Amino acid sequence: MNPAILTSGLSRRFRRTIALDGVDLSVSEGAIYALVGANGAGKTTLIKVLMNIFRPTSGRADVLGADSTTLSGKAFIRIGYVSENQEMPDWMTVADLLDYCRAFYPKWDRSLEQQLVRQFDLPLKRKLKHLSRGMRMKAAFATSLSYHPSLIVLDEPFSGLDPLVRDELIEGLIERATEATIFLSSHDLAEIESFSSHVGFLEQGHLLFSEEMSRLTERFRAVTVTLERTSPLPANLPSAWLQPEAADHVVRFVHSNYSEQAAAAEIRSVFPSARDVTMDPMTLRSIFLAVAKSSRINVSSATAKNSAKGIEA
Amino acid sequence: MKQILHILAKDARHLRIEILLSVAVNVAFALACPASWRAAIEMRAFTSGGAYSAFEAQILVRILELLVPASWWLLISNLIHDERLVGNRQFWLTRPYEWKKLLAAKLLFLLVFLYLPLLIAQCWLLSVAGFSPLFYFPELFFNLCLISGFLVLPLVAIAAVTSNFAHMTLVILGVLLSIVALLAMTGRINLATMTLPWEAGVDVALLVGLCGAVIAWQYSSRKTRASVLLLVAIPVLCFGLGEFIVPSQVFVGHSYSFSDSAAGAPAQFTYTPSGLDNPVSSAARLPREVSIQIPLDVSGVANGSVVMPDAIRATVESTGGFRWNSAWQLLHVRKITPDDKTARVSFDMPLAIYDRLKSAPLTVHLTMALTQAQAGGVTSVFLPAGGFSVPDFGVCSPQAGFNDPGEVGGISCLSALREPHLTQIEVVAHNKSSGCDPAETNFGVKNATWQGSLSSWPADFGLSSVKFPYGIGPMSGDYAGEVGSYLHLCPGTPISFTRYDVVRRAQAAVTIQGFQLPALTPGQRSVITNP
Repeated sequence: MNPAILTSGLSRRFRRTIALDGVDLSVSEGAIYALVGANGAGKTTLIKVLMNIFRPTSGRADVLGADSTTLSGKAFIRIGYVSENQEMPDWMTVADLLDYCRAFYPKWDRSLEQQLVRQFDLPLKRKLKHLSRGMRMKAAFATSLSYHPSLIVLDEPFSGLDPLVRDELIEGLIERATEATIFLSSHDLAEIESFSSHVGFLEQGHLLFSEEMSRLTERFRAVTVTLERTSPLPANLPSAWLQPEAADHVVRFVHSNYSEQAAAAEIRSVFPSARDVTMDPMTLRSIFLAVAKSSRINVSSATAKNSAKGIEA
Repeated sequence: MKQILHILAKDARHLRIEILLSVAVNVAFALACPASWRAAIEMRAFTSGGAYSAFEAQILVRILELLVPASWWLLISNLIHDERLVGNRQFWLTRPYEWKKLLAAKLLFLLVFLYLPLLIAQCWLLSVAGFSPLFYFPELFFNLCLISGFLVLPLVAIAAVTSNFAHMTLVILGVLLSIVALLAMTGRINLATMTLPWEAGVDVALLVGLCGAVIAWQYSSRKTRASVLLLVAIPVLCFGLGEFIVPSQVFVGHSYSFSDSAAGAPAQFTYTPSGLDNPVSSAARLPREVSIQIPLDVSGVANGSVVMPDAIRATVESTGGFRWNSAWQLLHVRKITPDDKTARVSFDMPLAIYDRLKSAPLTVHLTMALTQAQAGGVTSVFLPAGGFSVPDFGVCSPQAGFNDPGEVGGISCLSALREPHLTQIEVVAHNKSSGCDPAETNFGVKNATWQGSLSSWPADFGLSSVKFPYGIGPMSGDYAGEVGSYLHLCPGTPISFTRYDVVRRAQAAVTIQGFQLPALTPGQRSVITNP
């Protein structure tokens, strides 16, 4: 199966700022791919490069088999794009907007449009500029889903929306998931965990991981080791152990490469005096925080090392 | 085509207020124009009570002439910014818009809601003035091209690289200020240097090409920085090349051929010192410059032709070996006919050079760029009581007299889309004593005037399709040296219109040995040093 999105060595600079740095990403057809990351991680830039709103500085991105830099005109018949900060034609009513968009799409489905209007409870006669943020997003969703796009790209679609609206949008989205690949960025980890099939984590322009949600939650565990006696953390802990900390005779860390068979033996080899070991599954939010914090510590220490080298030189 | 019409319909619906405003201003302008023609004729005739209303009508037309482009400015800004090209958050960027169709929709909008109302207004004006619009379609088209080049395309190009009306307004103000600054810097604002006959054409072609390229480039790539660079760099480069690096003056030689023999020039010039008409020094148009006026004898103008000195270049050399060369400078000299024996030419020189050279005998070498025009078709009419048409000139009508509105003091003409071709109008006027006796065969005083230009363009740039007024104005005895004895025309007075066309452009030179720069009076020097 061809990937719906494929990037290799994708980079984008804004003058001296590196927004994306060698991103290699593959999103298979039919996936619901959630791109997570802190503010300024490069999520919106990545999406805008995919949509040919920005051009990559280097590397390449393919969207539905086509180079992203060639995406224009008819290519968007197969793509639905909604962004939290998109500028809409505010002078139009919802009905005007639907009428206007309809003519651009040969596969526009009037019955689906009406279904979405009902489902989202859209006020057809109201101008977009008089709609609430949630209603505007719903209108944008309706105009982006009514033509059965093969790829739906959403940039922070749930940001600032109340839970009810989020649920309605997610519901609308999940109904389309059988016929489309969905690629979205979000801060709302709890929300996307409920329906995403894949997740990628972008940190300061680097893609730290990109994998199936089930595999991700499978390989991350919050580990608590209770020792016979108080002991300092040994040096050279396995690199897959994130955020290790010791207090009295308890050691805690996040195992980022957990497997049921190997993990216990690995822990026993590092802590021979372990009295008790618990390994709890983690939420996406906990995983995100652990990876983000570790990544920042690594970046800080790398920067410190580089600075020290610079001083020595 | 479906997408083009779909976008056009959306724009028409959204911008209906701007369209109405633009059309309303256009209609007001069209309605005000005929009143202003009548007013201008009244002003020339100085008929009682006419001058004030004429002034009001002229002011109204001038205001509307500014409001029409201003309404286009608003219309174009909102049209282009509806799918603005600057930024990365626009809704339309990720919709199946094809840039060529988007651009075509915008251009079609301008065609329907800007050009069509203007064209209708221009046809209506032609019709009101007595011209048949059907005969002037190529000229109307050319005029619309000029309006595109000078107004519409630059506005579209600026809108394409700006994000909203305020941004666009700031850019336009910046552009206007830059143009004024550049013109002032190069002295062009003083009209001191000459422009070549083809320069305006090159300017328009450059402007159309540049704006068209920027618009197409911006729509296809949305690379705003590159588009702005293109929009700014190319005119600056062309201006720099034209003004500083390769002065247009070097092209004069190509436009005005130089013949080795003096007889090969359209006219021959010699300098003969005489006590009657001496050289004069006076204040020039530019500060700290002296204008040197030299009377020359003229000969060799072919019968049936007229010579127009367009520009002059002077080389002044002192016996000590100091040499000063002027640039080509515009000449404001009346047309030289075969009957003329003298012509007074002038050139400007810096005061510092003047002071350095004024006390020594000099060798002055003058080179003049001349245009020779030859008489062509002659149209003769006997002045009718009402309006009459003159081919290649315009639609004319008798004009009220200077003192007595019941008397015909001259004729006024309107021309279509451009100044008329260069035409000599000759009439033999009656004097007061002869009245309008049909038996009178000796009409009295022969009077002649020149009207029009030698421009080869089918239309002049302008919103109005009718140019006004041309002809012979109110006649007084001053024309004939009979002060106090007012001249007039009568029904049946013969009038001839002789059209002149360019035969060639050439240079003629004259060298004056032992020339002494004329002295400046203290008053003139004071004007020059304290302008």
